[in-house]
Amino acid sequence: MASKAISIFLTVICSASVYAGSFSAYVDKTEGTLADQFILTLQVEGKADSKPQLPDLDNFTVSSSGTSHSTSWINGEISSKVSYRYTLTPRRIGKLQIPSLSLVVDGKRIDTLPITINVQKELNSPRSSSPAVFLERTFSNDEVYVGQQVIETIKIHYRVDMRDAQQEARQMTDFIEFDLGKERRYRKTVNGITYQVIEIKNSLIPLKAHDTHVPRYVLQALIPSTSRHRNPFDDMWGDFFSSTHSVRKRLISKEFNLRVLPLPPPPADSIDLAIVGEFNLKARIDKRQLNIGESATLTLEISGVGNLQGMQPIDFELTAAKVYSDKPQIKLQKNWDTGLNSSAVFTFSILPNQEGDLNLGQHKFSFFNPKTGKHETVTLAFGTLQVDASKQEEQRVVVGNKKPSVSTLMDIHRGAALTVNHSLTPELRYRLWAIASLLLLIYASLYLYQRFGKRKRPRINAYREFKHACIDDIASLDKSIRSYLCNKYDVQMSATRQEINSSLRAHGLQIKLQERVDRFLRQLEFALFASQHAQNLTEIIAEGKAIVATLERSEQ
Amino acid sequence: MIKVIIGILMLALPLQAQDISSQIQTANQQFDAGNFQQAADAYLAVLDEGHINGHIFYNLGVAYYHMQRLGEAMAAFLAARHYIPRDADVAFNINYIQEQLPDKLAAGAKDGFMNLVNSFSSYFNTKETSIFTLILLAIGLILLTIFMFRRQLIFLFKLGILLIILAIIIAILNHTKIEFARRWGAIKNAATAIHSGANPNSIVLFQLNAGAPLVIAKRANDYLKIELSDGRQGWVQSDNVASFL
Repeated sequence: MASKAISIFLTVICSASVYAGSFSAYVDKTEGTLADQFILTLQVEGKADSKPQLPDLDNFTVSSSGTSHSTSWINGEISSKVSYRYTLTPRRIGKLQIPSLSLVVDGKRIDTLPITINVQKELNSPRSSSPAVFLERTFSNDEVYVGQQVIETIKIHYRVDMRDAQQEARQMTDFIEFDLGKERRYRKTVNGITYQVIEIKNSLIPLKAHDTHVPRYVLQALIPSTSRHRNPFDDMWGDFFSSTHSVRKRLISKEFNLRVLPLPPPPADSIDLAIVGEFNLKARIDKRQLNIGESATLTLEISGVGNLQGMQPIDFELTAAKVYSDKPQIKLQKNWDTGLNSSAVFTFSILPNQEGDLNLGQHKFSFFNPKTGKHETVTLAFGTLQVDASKQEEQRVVVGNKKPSVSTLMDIHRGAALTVNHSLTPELRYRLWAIASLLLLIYASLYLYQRFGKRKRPRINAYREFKHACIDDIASLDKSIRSYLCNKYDVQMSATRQEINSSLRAHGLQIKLQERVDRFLRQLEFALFASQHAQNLTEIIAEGKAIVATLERSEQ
Repeated sequence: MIKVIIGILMLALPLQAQDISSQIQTANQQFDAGNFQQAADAYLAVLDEGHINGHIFYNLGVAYYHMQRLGEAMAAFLAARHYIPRDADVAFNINYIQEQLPDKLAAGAKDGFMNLVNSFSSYFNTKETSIFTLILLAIGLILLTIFMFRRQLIFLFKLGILLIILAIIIAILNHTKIEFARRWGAIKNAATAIHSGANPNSIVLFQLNAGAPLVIAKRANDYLKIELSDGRQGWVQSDNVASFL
């Protein structure tokens, strides 16, 4: 087993040695400043005689950054790769060279090409002049009317790992601010540098007419530090729990001067004031033809770009109809491109009270259109309703007092069924209660009779029968005694002495009395079957009567 | 003497029945002649005499319908349904009127315990239920009595107890129906305002038209608190409501 393992190992080693090796050297960048660091990587693929040795690099400060190994199977052969990394920090400006390096790999000597690194005081590349993070803020207009929205667009550009970005709250005393939805993220190239962009849009509605500064947009975020000298103040904001050094930066947008113009005076016939935007009117009615007593629903919808919040309810009255208005529904819709849109829906229930054509009139809606810079009035006519007499009135007129030909309504009922009283009158209710009570009484009586009466009567009669019995011999005494016990203690006439004892015991008779009865019954049996040896008949009869009397007393 | 009194009473009962029968016949004749108002008055007179009959309510409803008094017609049919709940003509005419009404309101029971009670009673009226309960009780007691003398017939005991329990449950349901019965009625006039309170100054919640079925829940002065099958509630002047229950 061990020899087999060794042979496999040797085979692997041999096959690795057969694979053609390589040796290469490269850096992560060839241009930089004194502030930059360059990563030199020496990669050996195959079996090297020794570890590659760096020559003296006077122009750089060299420090090892570690070694990495990797092994892979390619077409059944082992390929091992070792990468040695070094960090080179330039010591001077100029074209600094890393000379050619040599290494014997897989028995072959391999030389790398020399590498030249251009170290400058300042790089002229766009990357060096472009900040890692910057803000851009634009406005849809720089001159608006009071109540007209201006869309503020903020674009946060970043090309480094920006974390924990937060907007600082700003006081908007002269504006109403609405965000126009969730921010959008995309990539954008600025001066040849690709940035990640976060775009935020807000709708700002100015409340006062004057030149005003839109408050700055301030963003705080953790940004990786590019400085080798850590600023102690940065450390105060830095992320101490992070392995990479980050500093909290405040990105502040430029100020923006917005000129807010007052609204021109509205025309005399204007109805709605201080509604600024561009709106349309729509109306719909659920029916144009109806009867008196029925209602039609008129829905008026005003919608467009602008803010309709705070709009007053519409007075809609008709002389020939009652009008009931629902609570208006005003909704705001945020549109990324057009800004704040809104709609107001007014619903009226119209109940005509006169026959004929009902003119619903028209509605005028006035607003200030900032695009034209003028007050505009939109008029919408609602049309007419055709109101007919109610169905009841029509039919009353047609039918009069004659029986109509209504074939579908069932005709009246006739016959004996009409003479039956269907109500549960108090008299009937009392009768039913009386019958129910009587039934219960009968049942209760039967139950009581069954439970007590049947048994009590023989027990009462037992003693009476015994007393009136004609007892003149042993046989008549035995019969009377047994009859008495049968009635009194539920024993059979043919019961044995033991059975009679058991029954007496079950009835809770005193033990002494039980024994006395038992003695008497034995004496009676003896007298009955051996009368020649029996005692005096009179004594036995007297004892029997005495026992019965005692039993009677014991029960009382 | 007693026999004489009993004899007079026995004679008086058929006389009264004969009188009612002739009144009903007169009312029907008025109806056939197209004198619907006279027919309705005659039916009402019979009812006023204490002869409560579901078929007469039904005939009253038909007469009102032919006068296009949909509210009274609906109320009469609802009263007829109370007394003759299994009558198909009553159910048909109620549906027929409902189809013509602008207010699409059901004339059935709501959910809850009273729904159970009403479902139970939708097949029997209170009088029938009471008699049925008594019969169940009697049979149950007879079975228990037989068991008393024939103890080996245990199934009679079980059946008797079951019947008595059933009779008690039905009696409770019937009593509940009598005590808490929904008093159905209908709106008499077109565009009747339903107020939020029992006074004319309270706001109008909505309007109902003639024939709309409703349940009268409460009375306060001249106003009735009504409940509709769609859950709406309100107060309406009692003059605008017809109810025969």
